[in-house]
Amino acid sequence: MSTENDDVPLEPLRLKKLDFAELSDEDVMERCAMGSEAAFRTLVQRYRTRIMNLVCRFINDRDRAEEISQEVFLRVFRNRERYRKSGKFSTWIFTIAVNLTKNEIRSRVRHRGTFSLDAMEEESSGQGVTFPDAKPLPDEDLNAHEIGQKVAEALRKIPARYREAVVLRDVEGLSYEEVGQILRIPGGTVRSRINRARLMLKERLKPYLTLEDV
Amino acid sequence: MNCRSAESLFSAFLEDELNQKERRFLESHLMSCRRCSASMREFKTSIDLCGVLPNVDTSPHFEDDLMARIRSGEGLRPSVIEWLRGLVTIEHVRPFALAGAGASAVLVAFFVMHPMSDRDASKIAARSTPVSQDAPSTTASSGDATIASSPAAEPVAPAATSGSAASSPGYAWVERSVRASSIPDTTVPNPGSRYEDEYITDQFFLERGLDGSSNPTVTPVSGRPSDDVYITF
Repeated sequence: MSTENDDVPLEPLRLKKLDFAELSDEDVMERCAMGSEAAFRTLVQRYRTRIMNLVCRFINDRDRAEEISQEVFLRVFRNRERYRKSGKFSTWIFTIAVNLTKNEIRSRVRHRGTFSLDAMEEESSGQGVTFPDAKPLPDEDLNAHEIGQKVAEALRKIPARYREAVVLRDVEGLSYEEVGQILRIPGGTVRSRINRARLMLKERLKPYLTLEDV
Repeated sequence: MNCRSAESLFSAFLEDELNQKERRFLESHLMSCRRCSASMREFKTSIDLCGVLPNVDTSPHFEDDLMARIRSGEGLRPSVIEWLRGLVTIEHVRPFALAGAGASAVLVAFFVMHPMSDRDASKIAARSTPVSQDAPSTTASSGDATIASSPAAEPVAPAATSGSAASSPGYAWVERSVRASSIPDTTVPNPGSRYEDEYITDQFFLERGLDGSSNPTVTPVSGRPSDDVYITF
């Protein structure tokens, strides 16, 4: 009798865990809104690296980026019941992340007494923040790692409004429509900003692109 | 097509978003312009390089820290800004905005239908003017009541106005109040228009004499000597 009772709840739990792996983000979020902690953990595991990367592309402070990423998930949890399944979860969470990052940049500009956001970013980007990797890189990966650093540095030097568009599109791989929704700008503006950002990026990476060709 | 307009189409070209005409123009330009052709290659390579950006991973205790914050109740507590934003949502503000608009409309309608009368304006002007320091307070307060209620249809004698006003300092404050008020007040009588007797209150009246040479005296309406009142001018 008692063994039957003990066995019953284990099976649905195991099935639920399997279900989350196969469910879409929107379905998992729906379960999270119904109060499932496991669903929330699944979303954290799926998105934490993407959110952390996104925030890091905008602010040059790893510790602060982690705090902001945690805040993003806290807001997701806090507003879980307000989420509408009709919209994509990735768009929703990226919008929260971009908004929080923009707030952070604004507060930094205010505290520094700088009036131009881009000027502040240009200034800070010159310091060349690096993200140290704990593992030593093998020789064959060294070149790729260096190029990656150069691309990250070039991205940081692009004005903010162009950078946010190109990061969402080319780094995060979102569609033009999603980028437009996140940044609240029309499709035509998204396209022109992304094209402009890519041209700027190309100009900044030109020395390294020429070397690669040789 | 020049190089500048060709560059503006690079993204759309790579993502196959150009129409046939634009694509044909760009392709012919790329074939003829070596600079743009090289630029397009660099453009494409720089987009590809965005994919090799080093990943920045979260710390190992990221998830545990987050869940600890949620369990502590932080996840359920809105921040001050979030709370304020919740207060000023359209749904919350709309009833107040509608009520304010309605009250404003009622006020405007009231003032349009009941414009301020001259009598009200004179009362406001009289109330807003301070009583003269040299005039006795009893006279001033009683004079105020009499003047406001006296008829305005009496003829004005311009020749006597200045002299009378000068000789009766008790009226000076009335003149000042009329001057101070920008509203033309016909209910406040001209002090020089009366030469003989003037009621101060229901109980007393002012005697100045016909020629104005004798000192003015206050006489009780009843005529009884026991009701004498002395006022210093």
